[in-house]
Formats: sequence, C-alpha cells, structure tokens
Amino acid sequence: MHSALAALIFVATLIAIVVRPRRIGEAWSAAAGAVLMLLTGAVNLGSALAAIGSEWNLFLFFLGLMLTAAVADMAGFFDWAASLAAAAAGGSGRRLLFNIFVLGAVITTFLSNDATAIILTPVVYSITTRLRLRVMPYLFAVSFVANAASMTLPISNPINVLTGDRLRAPLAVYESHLLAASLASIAITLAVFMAVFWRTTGRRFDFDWRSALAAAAGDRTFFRFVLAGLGLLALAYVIGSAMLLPLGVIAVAGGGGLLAIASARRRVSSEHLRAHVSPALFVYIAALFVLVRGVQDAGITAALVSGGVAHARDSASAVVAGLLGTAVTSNLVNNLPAILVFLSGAQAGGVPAGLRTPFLFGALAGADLGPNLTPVGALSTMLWLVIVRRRGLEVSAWDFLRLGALVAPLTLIAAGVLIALSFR
Amino acid sequence: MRILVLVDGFHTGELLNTLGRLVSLQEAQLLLVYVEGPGPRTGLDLVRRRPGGDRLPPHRARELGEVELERGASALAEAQNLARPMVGSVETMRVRGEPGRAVCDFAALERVDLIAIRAGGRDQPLLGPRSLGPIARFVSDHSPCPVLLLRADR
Repeated sequence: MHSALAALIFVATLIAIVVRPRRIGEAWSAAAGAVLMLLTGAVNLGSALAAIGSEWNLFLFFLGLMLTAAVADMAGFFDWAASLAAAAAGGSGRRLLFNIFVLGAVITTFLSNDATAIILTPVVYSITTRLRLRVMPYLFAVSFVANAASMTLPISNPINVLTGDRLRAPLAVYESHLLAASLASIAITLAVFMAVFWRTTGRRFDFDWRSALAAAAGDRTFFRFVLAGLGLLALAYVIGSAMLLPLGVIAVAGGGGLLAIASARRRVSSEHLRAHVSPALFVYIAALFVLVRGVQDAGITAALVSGGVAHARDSASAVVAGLLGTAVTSNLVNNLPAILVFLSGAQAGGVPAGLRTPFLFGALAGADLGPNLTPVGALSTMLWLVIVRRRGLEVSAWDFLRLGALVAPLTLIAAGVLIALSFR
Repeated sequence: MRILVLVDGFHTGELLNTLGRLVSLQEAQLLLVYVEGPGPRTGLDLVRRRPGGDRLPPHRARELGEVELERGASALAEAQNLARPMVGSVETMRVRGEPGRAVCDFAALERVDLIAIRAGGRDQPLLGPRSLGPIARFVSDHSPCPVLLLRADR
C-alpha cells in the first residue's frame, strides 16, 4: 500500500511535469508532488532533508554555473564568441554552421550544456537574423551539440556531477571511459548536420566582424577580466576533477569571483541576474530528490533497476543496460528525473557491485545523449509541437524531431560500443 | 494592376525575375510585403525549452526585436532596389503575423488584384503532391484574389 502510494504520487508528478497543466511550471508540479510525499508519509521530513542535503555539491554547482553564465553574458562573452565564429566563417553560411557547432561544443565542455542551450541560442538567433541567414539550422545545431558534447568533462552537464558524486572516478578514469564516446558523438552529430543542412546553409553573407567584435566586448577591461576568469575557472575545473575536489565549490568560487569583478566594474544589473539565476530550478531539483527518495524508500527504484540489469552478465551488457535505460526514460520524462531513478536504484542495491561502475557510466551516457531523440529530452516536446501545429505556425520543428531520430540512435550506438570497449 | 509580392528575404531576385517574365510590370503597381512571422521565435522557444530557459534577459529580448526589424528592413530595401527598374510603382510594407494569414488579410485590405508568391517551401520538392510550401498552400486556399505561384527554374 505504502509503495503503491509512493509510486502513484511519483508517476502523477512526472505526468504533471511533462504535460504542464494550465501552464504550471515543472518546479511547482514537482514541489506539489514532494509535499504530497511528505503528507502521506511516503517520506519523512528527516529523510527528505537528508536527500536534499546530501546533494549540496549539485546545488552549488548549479548556482556557480548560473552566476558564471550571467557575468559572462553581461561582459558580452557569448556575443564576442559568436561574432568570432562568424568572422572565421569568411562569409560562408556552411562554415558558419561548422563554427557555431564547434563553439557550442567548447562552451558545453567548459560551461555546461545548459549554458549552451539557454544562453548561446538567443545569441546565435540574433547573429543569423542580422546576417539574413536561415535561423533554424543554426539553432538546431546549438541545441544538439549541447547534448552531444555534454559527456566531455565532468562539468559539461550537471548530470555528470550528480553521477560523478556516486562514481568517485578521477578525471583520468572518467576520460578513459567517456572521452572517445564523447568525441564520436560530436563528430557524428556534426556530420549529420552538415549533410542535412548543406543546401539550406549555402547562402553567403557579408559581416563587418571588426565592429561586431568591438561592440560585443563593450567595456574592454571588464571583458578581459572575465575572459581571464573563465580561463582560470576552466583550469580549476580540470584540476578539481582530477583531484576529486567538490566541483560545486569550485563553480561557486568561480561564479562569485566573476560577480565580484562585475560589481567592481559596476556592471551588475539586478534584472540581468534575475534572468539568469532561476530559484525555480533549485525548487525543481530539491523536489525531485524528495520524490525519488520516496520511491527509493518504497524499494521501487531498486526493483526497477534490478529488472533492467537482470540480463547483464558482464561490463559490456551493464553499459548497454544503463545506457538504454536512461536514454529511453529521458525521452519519456526528462533526463534529470531519469538519471535520479537509475542512480537511486543502483545505490539501493539494484545493480551487482561488480557491474555498478559500467552501469553508471552507461547510464550517464544515456542521460546525456538520449535527450537528442526528442530534443529537450521529454515527451513534453511532442505535446508542445502538437499545440504549435494547431496554432498554424510555420516552424520546422518536425525537422527537429526527424534530426533527433537520426542523430540520437547513431550517437547512442557509437557511445555504447566505445564505453563497453573501454571496460575490456 | 496591384500585385502583392511576398518577400522572404532569400529568393527575391529569382521571384521578381520570374514574375517579370510572366506579367507585364510596366503598368503594374507592386506592393512588396515582408511578414514578420512567429516561426523563428517559436524555434528559439523550442530549443530553449528546458528548466531555467523560460525567460530571455531583458537586453537580449530588446536586441532580438531590433535585429528582426533590421532583417525585415534590409530584405525590403533589397527587394525595392531590384523591383524599381522593372515597374512603374513600388511600395513596401512590413506586417506581423502568421505569414499565410497575414498576406491574405493584407491583400483583402489593400484590394490587390494578384498575389505573387514562391510556390515551394524550404524542403518542398520542385514538383509533386507536396511541392507547395505551407505558406503558399494557405494563401492558395484563402486568398481573396487570384494567386500566382512561382516555381524556381530548375
């Protein structure tokens, strides 16, 4: 009875997150679900607080990322980088697609996939609109590379931080299992994009790159400080990952440092910070931890995961089980709840000790790459597309889904094979 | 004759040249219309649709509005330059809305005699059952006046 109630609340909450009834944000649906878990006794308050408190590293990491992205945006870093990509394209729309792709991969690697998908996209929209190019191929490129490149470093996706806290794998070990898979995913996604959009991006453009670069970095001193700060932060992330230091602390220290620079240069704007730092995201994540703790305490996550790995006999099959499990679940709900369920199940004894590491690496790859199937990793995209069609808007969003159907299986297969081989 | 030409900013030269070969433009009045449609913004919303991606920073929202205006103005200026040597009178107009509906509404309002529009969309085949783009299809279905669908010479 107890476990059935916890499962019911969990599933109902996930449906509310996906469907967004009456446009209620996912944070508030998740919070309502978490409160229900507490009220029904599926989780006690102490257990809920422990579930949230034990993930302090992830919360700090998100905060640090948001502050860093906000200051980088205030300094014009993203505009400058996109202008550089346009300048290097030499007037070729195709080369610009390639450059935007590379830029997205670099920003994802060092500032996370969310920074790429949320902050770089409007910048790319702006520059391609100004250059009178077709906007959609470039926006799609940014969105897809944000997922394709999100395995490269432990900081490239908050999900990696979450999984990394369980794996406790130093950078060398992490890269020995995931670097080849990450590079292969980026290369495959790029190749598909260049092939699919070859004709569409054939238009040439004129670009006054000198004035664009100068305009992007308006306050030169501030811009240089921020650029140097971002370089130092990237280095600190690499060193921290190698030494297994808490990445959340590094992120907050870096973001705080950049914010101090912005304050000293009188460049901080409260409306800018409000736009970048989203308290609702913290509510969403905290609520998800409570919800997952509820189903974990009821023994559901362990049962689910042990069912998924029942046929796994060796590392390779454990990688595949983890990868497929999170890839599929990420597209049904969202990759954050998906990975939480799998991590919880593995932690609660759902995976044999000898297969736990390959299973978790597979699960991480599935949660990072899987979202490219339905672009934001949720069924909600499908529902949204239906609404958009009803409104009669001409948007090539179905192209987006078709691209996902092409890119996601290819990258998942390549990643699965390469990660499995890394355990030989 | 008042002819409404939908300018998309990508195929203007091709569109006007084909129109000029088919219709005597010396006595015609061309109304070049650029529609600021919701498509690209909808695409931006789609790719930013993840937790934390709901709002654009205010400076970015302002900037996007400006570049959209710039794009429309530049597309219309280009079209006007190309059309001037071909016709007696050219007017330009920028309207907002879903492109197909906006063109039909504007054509009715301005009492135009003919709408000239590119037949194919971005991914449409040149010929066959799906060769009409969504905007051309909507305009063909709902136009208050005759519609000239112009295909690329291939």
